Amino acid sequence: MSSGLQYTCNSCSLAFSRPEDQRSHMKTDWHRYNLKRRVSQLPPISEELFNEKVGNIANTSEGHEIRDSAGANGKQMTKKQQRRLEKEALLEKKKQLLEIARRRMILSNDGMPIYDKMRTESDEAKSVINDQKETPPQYDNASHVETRDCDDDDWETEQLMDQKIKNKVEIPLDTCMFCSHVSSDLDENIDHMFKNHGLFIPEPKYLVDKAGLIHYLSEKVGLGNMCLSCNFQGRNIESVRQHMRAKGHCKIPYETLNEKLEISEFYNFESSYSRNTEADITDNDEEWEDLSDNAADEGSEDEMSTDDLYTNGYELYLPNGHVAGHRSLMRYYKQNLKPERELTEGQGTLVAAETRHFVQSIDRKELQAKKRVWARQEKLKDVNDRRSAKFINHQAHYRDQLLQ
Amino acid sequence: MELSVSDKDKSILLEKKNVLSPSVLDKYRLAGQITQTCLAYLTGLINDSYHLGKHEPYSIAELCLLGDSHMKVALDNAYKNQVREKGIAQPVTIDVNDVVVGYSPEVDDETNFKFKAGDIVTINLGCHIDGYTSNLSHTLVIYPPGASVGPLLGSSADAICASYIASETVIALLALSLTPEKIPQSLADGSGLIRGSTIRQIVDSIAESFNCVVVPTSKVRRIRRFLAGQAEGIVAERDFKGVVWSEADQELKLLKKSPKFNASQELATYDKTKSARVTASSAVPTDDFVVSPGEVYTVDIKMAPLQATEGPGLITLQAVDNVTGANHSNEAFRPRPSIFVRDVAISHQLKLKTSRKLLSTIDNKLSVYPFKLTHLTSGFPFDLSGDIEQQLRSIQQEMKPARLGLVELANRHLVVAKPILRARFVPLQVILNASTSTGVNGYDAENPVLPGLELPLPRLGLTSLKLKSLLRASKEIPVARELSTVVLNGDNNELIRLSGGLSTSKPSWVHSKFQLSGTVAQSVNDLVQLTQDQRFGLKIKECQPMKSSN
Repeated sequence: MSSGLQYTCNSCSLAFSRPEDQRSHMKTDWHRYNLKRRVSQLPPISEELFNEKVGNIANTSEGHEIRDSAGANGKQMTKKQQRRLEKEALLEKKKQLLEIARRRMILSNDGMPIYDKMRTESDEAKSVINDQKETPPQYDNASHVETRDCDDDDWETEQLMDQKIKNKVEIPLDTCMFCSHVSSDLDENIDHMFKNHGLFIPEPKYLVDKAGLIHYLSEKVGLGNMCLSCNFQGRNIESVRQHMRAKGHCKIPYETLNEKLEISEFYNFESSYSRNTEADITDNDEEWEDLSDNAADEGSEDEMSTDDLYTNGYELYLPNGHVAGHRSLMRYYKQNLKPERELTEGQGTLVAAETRHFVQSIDRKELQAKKRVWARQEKLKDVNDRRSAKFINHQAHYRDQLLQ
Repeated sequence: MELSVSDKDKSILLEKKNVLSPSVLDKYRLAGQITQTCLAYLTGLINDSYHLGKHEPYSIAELCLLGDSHMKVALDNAYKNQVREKGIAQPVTIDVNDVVVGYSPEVDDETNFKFKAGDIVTINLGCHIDGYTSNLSHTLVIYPPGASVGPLLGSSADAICASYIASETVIALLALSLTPEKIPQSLADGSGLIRGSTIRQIVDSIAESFNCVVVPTSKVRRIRRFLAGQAEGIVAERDFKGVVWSEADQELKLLKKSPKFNASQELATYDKTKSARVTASSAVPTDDFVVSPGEVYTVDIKMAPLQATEGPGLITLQAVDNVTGANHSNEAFRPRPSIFVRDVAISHQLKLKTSRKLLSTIDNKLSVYPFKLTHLTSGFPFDLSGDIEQQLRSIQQEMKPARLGLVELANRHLVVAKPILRARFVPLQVILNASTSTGVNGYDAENPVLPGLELPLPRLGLTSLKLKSLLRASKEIPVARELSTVVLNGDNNELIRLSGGLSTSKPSWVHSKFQLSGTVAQSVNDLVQLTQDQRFGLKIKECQPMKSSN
């Protein structure tokens, strides 16, 4: 190592003869870049290569730079101005979209769906009427814009649906909806899904349309790309499958009423009513308690259906006339109040003719008021006694103070 | 908690329902017919068994049971599903000699006995249909069996004569109130009205001429729907209208005999209304009322003869019961009260299940009238043609738990036992020597009386409790009683006699050595002539017993 070059830069593999050179080097962007490369265990690059790279990036991100500069200006802008800018940008974007849509409509007037055509016709008619009424043109335009907007939404959803249908992956009944494993038949497939993915089908006793349920779920995954148990919507079937497997969402939610209703068409619970309604309801749903007495009417139970079951929040009215009350009101149902006495005519006559004095029941409030008065009187008396006791002379004999 | 009825309901129950419309009259008439039939049935039974000797004589308990069953069967057939409340208003009581009211033993009662020849027997019964009540009492004489018998003589005969004549006279007087223009000269006071004091005066004079005393609790009173005097002493009835005889009237009469007595200088003044434990003074009976058409009356006259007694004295009533030592008397006759009446104003949470069950049965099955426990059993009405042994056994079996429950009901005053009362003669000497330690406020809560009559001897200041203790020195005395219910129908100016009358309550053959004398003889004669005159006299219609009775 020559003594002339004793100041080095290890990251850029350079050597300097003077310390000032070294220091100035250390401040350059090139050195910093090489430092970063070294951290990520990459060999350093030469200065020419670095300058070339910088030049390329500067060319591609000219727009970015402009935006950056605007952002730099934005820092000095007030929030109000910022919002106004954003709004303007949005309006601009909307205008562009509307323009695109209009152009497309004019171009493809024949290829449009019928109802859209009809709608435009009606819009035109509306605009004609509006013209006849000589309404301000701005308003007219606005209505146009609105209706167009609406059409645009419909059209977009339709587009989406079309895309979905295009992307649809048909999952046959014997194929696993989580990993595309193919079984010999439906039952084996369900078994596979239960063992490998933990798919549990609720209330198997009352499930009447097993194939329908599996088909529905497969469609949900294959067509809708929806997760079975959460709101996740994947871009394609693979993404949703991955989501379900990773999150353990390979299950059918069966907690809330909506969730139950979603798959209720594949179930039939009628067999559970025909035996003993009360018992079953209390067994299935621990929250309900039977209110009325056990005067079960066998005849009426046969015509029972879920339509006859209705609830008003705290009471469940069963089709056989029984009322199941909610547990939270149990303390009231438990009360065994004396029924109000209904007088017969004879008893009523005697009561009407009665002139006896009866002992008055004690009025608690009145008594309390009286007690308060008595307590006050007692206290006043006590204070008075104490006060007067001060001035009582307890000396048995008179003693002259001067003679002591 | 106090029960109350709204003013509107009050006016309906107490006034509108008491207007004598044709339907109301029909109910009254049917009730009267049933009582008449039952009386005819019972007198027939007594005659057959005691006088004609057709079969083994019935005991009192059997007669009571048969009479109640007979009434019950007749009532069950009347107004089927048309009225809510109908039933026995007064269970059959058979009061012998000195027993005045309330003796109606159950079949298992130990005191149950049969009549002896020479007994005077009062049959007392009543029923109601929809609260329209007909009560009835009649006194019979038991003759020795055989054909050759004469009339009953002696003191009992005096009482029977006096009570019969007095009750017939009072009924004629009540009929006069419908046609005041027919009031005879001997009775006319110028006002043309029949007042309570008129009734009292004439009854007192009849009693005097037969050497009798009107027994306390005798009364001529207006009755209303459901208020037929069944709860007297329990319910202090508003607008009480009637003459009531009590010990105080006898006291006044005794004091008047003294030459020193001066009514204006009474030492003790006693205001009935002040001591009465009622909220309305109209509940206190006074003679200051006018009989008016459209009312219904019961004429209940009880007479006790004074022939066998020595010196002046007071006829009073003694309540007998089966509680040993309660009255310090060593009597053999200790019946247990068997008739109860529900006090509707009182409610209480009962402890025993049997008593709760019994109370609900009483409230639902029975009306507000007195009842016997037999009426609540399944063996009632009793059927003579059925298995007698088995029916009696079932009645006795079911009565056991009912008795247990009844004790609690009685202790809580939910039901009140109707006392069995005997007439006693207390010499005036004993009364005058007694000191009144309890003061005028010593009420006898056990034996309720009408409000205002709590103090039996107000001038002497003797309370009922003190009088009770004087009964040891008393003597028993027979009592004859006649009770009938009459309707003053103002529309036709006719008096409908629901119960009593010649068809069923023909007086027994008795011979009194007294006869009516003085002014009262004239007035009674005039009244009898008026009742017997078909064309110009008083219109009195009697309810006849039903033909189909067995």
